[in-house]
Amino acid sequence: MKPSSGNTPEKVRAKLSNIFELPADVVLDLPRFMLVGNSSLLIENHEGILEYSEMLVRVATKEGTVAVTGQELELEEISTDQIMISGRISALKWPE
Amino acid sequence: MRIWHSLRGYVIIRIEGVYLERFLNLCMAERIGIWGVGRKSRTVMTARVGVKDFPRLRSVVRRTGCRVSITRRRGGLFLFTRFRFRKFLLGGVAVAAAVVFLLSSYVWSIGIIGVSGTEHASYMRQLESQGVHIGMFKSALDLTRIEESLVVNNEDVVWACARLSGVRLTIEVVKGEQAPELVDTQTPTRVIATKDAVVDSMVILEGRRMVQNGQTVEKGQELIGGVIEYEDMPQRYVHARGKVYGRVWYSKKVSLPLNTVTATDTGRTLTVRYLRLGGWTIPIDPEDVPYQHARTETRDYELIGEGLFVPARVEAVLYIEQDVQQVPADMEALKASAQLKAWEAVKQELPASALIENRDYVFSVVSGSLVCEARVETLEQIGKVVKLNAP
Repeated sequence: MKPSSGNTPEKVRAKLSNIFELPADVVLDLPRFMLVGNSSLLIENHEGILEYSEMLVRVATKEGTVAVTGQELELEEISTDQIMISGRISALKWPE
Repeated sequence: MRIWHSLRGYVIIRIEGVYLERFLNLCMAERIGIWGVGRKSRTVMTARVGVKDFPRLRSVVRRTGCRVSITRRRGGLFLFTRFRFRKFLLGGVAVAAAVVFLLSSYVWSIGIIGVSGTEHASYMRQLESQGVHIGMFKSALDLTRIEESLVVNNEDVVWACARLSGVRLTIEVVKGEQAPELVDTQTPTRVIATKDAVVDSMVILEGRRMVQNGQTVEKGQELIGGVIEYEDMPQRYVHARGKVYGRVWYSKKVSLPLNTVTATDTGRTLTVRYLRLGGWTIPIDPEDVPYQHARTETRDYELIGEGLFVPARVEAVLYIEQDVQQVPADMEALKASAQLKAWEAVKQELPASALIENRDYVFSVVSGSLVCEARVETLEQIGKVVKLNAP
């Protein structure tokens, strides 16, 4: 069996994005997070809600599960493209 | 989007179940507009959903096993439904809207900027003559015509702008500077003094200086001459003009008595009666009044003859004795009063443009009176242009 050269489509796209200075979130379809103060967080390119409570929201993304912790968390807006979380956000934890 | 949902109407729902996250993901997958999601407990959640999307929740509910109930209805659709049968209320709202719309189509206030208070009425009359007045339809306004007419009809107006903001018509007027008075330079003139003074300074625009600074001049004396002479040239007549500033002194005296006279009634009185018959006066009582100082009060008693040719009257004169004493006045108060009166007297002689340089008061006592003399030194324009009788 021929060994893999390591040039997966994602890696190719990442290189192209780097060469042509294209935004990575568009080319690689990566999730995008926009935090306004600590009161609202907009997540784009998500893949669904895994868990939702007043103190924790776990959102599935292509890069893994992102956990948003805080208090009085609400889902202001949810759609296939984006989720807006409002409340007192204290932490945004990325998968290790 | 929220505003659109508010207009269209939305419901607040309560979702109960175990798979609430699955419920949300399915809503997203089905593209059901859901927002304002809040977690109440482990198995309960509230959310807002549009009226149109609410029936589409049925398949999601079936697939997740959740229970959905409506807790509140909000937005324009439900508001309309609630008031649908309250015809008078809806009618009132419609009438009020119509009245507001109608009233807002009139001009309710006219403001003119750039004119003085006294001119304001004149400009308002001009506007009225063109049919512009409070209470007119806004659609009947021709702003360009108003601007043009104000500039054309008023010589001093160089620019006018009319604008309508809401129900207020604002007209801004800008006036030009008045052209300086034309000087008839062809007429030979000279400048003479209008009063006795000491020349302080001179600004000669044309003509020949006839006096020096610090020189005392008399009224009528020539200050700037209109005849120019050179040794080997013929006489030349010019329109002499300029400003001559001189120091002028004014003085006024005021005298006030040193003693003030007080008169008090002693209580003693005497009545003397007279009979007045036509033009004659006949004393009834003895006429000798024993009082040195007395005031009188007169009363008339008509006896007979009212309406007749010669009426007879009795006149009673009441003499009230008075004790008259002269009390020395308070000197400080008297001086202050005299000073004020002297200043008031001298002030009337000062020209409005005079600049007061110095002012003092001199007091003296002359034959039982305090005399106050106010002396004022002013700096003022003393030159006056008069025609020169040139040959």
